[in-house]
Amino acid sequence: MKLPPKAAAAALATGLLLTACSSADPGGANEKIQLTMSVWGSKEDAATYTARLALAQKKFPNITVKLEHTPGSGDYDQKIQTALAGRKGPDIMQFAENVHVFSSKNQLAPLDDYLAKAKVDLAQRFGDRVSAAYQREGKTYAMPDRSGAMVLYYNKKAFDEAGLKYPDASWTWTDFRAAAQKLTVREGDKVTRYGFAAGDWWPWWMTFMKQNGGEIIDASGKPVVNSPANVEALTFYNDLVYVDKVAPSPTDYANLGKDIGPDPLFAQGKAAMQLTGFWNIGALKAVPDIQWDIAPIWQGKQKATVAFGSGLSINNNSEHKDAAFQIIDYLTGEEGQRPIVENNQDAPANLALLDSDAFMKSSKANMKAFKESTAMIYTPPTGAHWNEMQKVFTDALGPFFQNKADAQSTLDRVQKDLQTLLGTG
Amino acid sequence: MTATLDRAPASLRKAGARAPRNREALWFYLLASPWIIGFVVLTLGPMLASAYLSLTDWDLFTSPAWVGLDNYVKLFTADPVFWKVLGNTAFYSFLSVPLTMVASVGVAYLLNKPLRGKRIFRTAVYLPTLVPMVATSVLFVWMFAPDTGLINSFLALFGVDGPAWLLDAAWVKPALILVSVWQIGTSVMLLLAGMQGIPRHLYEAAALDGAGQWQQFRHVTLPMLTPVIFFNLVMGIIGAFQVFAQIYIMTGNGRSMGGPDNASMMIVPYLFDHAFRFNHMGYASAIAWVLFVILLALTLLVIRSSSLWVFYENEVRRK
Repeated sequence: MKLPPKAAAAALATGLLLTACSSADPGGANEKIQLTMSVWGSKEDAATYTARLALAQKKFPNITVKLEHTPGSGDYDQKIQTALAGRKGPDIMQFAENVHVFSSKNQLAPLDDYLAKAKVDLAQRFGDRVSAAYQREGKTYAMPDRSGAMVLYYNKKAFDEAGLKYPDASWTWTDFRAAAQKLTVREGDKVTRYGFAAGDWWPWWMTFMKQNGGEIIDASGKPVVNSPANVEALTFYNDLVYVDKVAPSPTDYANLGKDIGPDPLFAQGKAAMQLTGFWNIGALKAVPDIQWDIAPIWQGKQKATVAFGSGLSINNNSEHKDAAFQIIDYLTGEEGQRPIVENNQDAPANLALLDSDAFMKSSKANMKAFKESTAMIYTPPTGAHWNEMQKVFTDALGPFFQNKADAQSTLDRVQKDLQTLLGTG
Repeated sequence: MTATLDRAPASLRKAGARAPRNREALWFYLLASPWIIGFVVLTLGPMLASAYLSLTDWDLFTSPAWVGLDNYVKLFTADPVFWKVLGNTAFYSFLSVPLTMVASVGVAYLLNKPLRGKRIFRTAVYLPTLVPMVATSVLFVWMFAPDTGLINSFLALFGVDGPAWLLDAAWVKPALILVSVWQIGTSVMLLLAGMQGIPRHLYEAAALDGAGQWQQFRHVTLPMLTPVIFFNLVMGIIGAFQVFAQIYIMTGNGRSMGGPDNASMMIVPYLFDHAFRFNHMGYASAIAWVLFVILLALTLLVIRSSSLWVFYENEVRRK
């Protein structure tokens, strides 16, 4: 559109006037609000978010949400961090376990007042365990959005061959260990199929600790890592690799290639059991020769598993927090979550959907395992120092997982380093 | 511009006796301005900012809190990992730089021989430099695999049971040094160009004096190459102390790097962790300044010592 200069100036003035009017009337139903929302993940993830935002647009015609999608997840944190540090950043952000790295620096809006105003009952909508991961010091910083618990994936054919009954939630550590031994196939010294595959990632070993009644940080915020329960759990975990030799060691993984973990091993039929999240269902679709199913994880002294979820947060510097809340409230509601199930993207955080027929029928696998697992979910000790805590774990546990240190001295070291880090020594 | 000056009042013209020099200076600043602006805006500004930040506690979001020299004191007295990092970086640099220097002079010397197919050899030596460091690193992760990797498979032919390289605290740094030696292409090319620039008559004179191959190399080639070696040395030291990509890829998994247990953690990856993973921008800035001082000291040392060993053709050697 080409306008003569005077007309352009007039148009500009009118525009300014209109803006001035509309900002004098915040929350007016007809005010056009433009929000941005950032998420990470695959192209399929982006498509599902787009579909959900299209539904939100229909529901709130005056609010338009622009999706900013970061492929993969590696650079997401740094991207968000840079944007937030520049006092900019999207209005709505997807966060997972590191939400409190940001919430502890006043970057995320506490949602409690909005939740109260909208009469949202988090426990009813998501179950209290899932919401807890996004709460810190009594405040809620994100609404749970996706929440696939870590479940047991098992190779049905391997179980049939070994003459084993398929696993269920009643399994104990003893059942699991015996099964792992039976499922391991050897040719001479070489293992051609591992009974179980895990590694040094925290959800795996921490779940064993938790199942054994251990804690990383106690209720008062003090590290309690080197407890007998944790030593016992770690020993059990490492014995699978070095005593029973039914699970791959770091060296075994390194021999298989860069960044090879349990997921590809399982998909290649070289591991009979693994613990992982919902995403593996999609990945396994590409390998039709593997007959597999899922079950809730076995139990130790108590039941425990982690949730691989993510929540939606609101930028504390956003100019449209009310509108942003309307959007995340809708996106985490039944209607807004439906595309997650329809597209088979993830396990929805909303319990009504997690329990729905649509979700049960979304895969041939035993999808009930996810609902059953929600009651077992524990809150990992994430907090402001989560990234540094993980560094402490990795440094100390590295030699242990290579069988170059014993569990007690390893956990003593983690304990000491966490005390220094958290200033509780 | 000349016209303007001509029309200028006499008083000004008098002052303009120095005009040609002024004009020269003006042109100098004009032509150098892209660099000057770039330096001030992109280098000096951030440097001053980081010097200030190194004296603060800053998490990137809330405002920086002044802590004086606390970050530096903590680095040297209360952070055992930092000493390990300094040790690792020194170990890596003081082995990889001399090794690459010797290897590149040797390879350049061989490539300068009238060999059959020398172009192919030259291409082969230079090619690794064209491969992005990230790709090289991934490649070497496969090569260093404990049992199935190319290197240990090769060693096994001779009955040698190779180490677990990247997984072994004692062998991860030597592994990284091997990667650096693989990347000698650029310095070889510079040395080769230097060698071809050495006048033939020097060799002829040396041969007439009865110098053999080795003596010619020792007393003609090597001294004539010292300016290039000097350049390679300075760049090599700076590059080695700033090693990053190899660590990030080869001993990292996206969640952490520098393993096992910090055995391969170096200064820049450590800085990166503190700045971008742990939100310790102030502390990371202090690390950056320590690195700057180390590099400045080493570079000065090399430059100061250069009069003792770097020989320029037209120069009469100082005794």
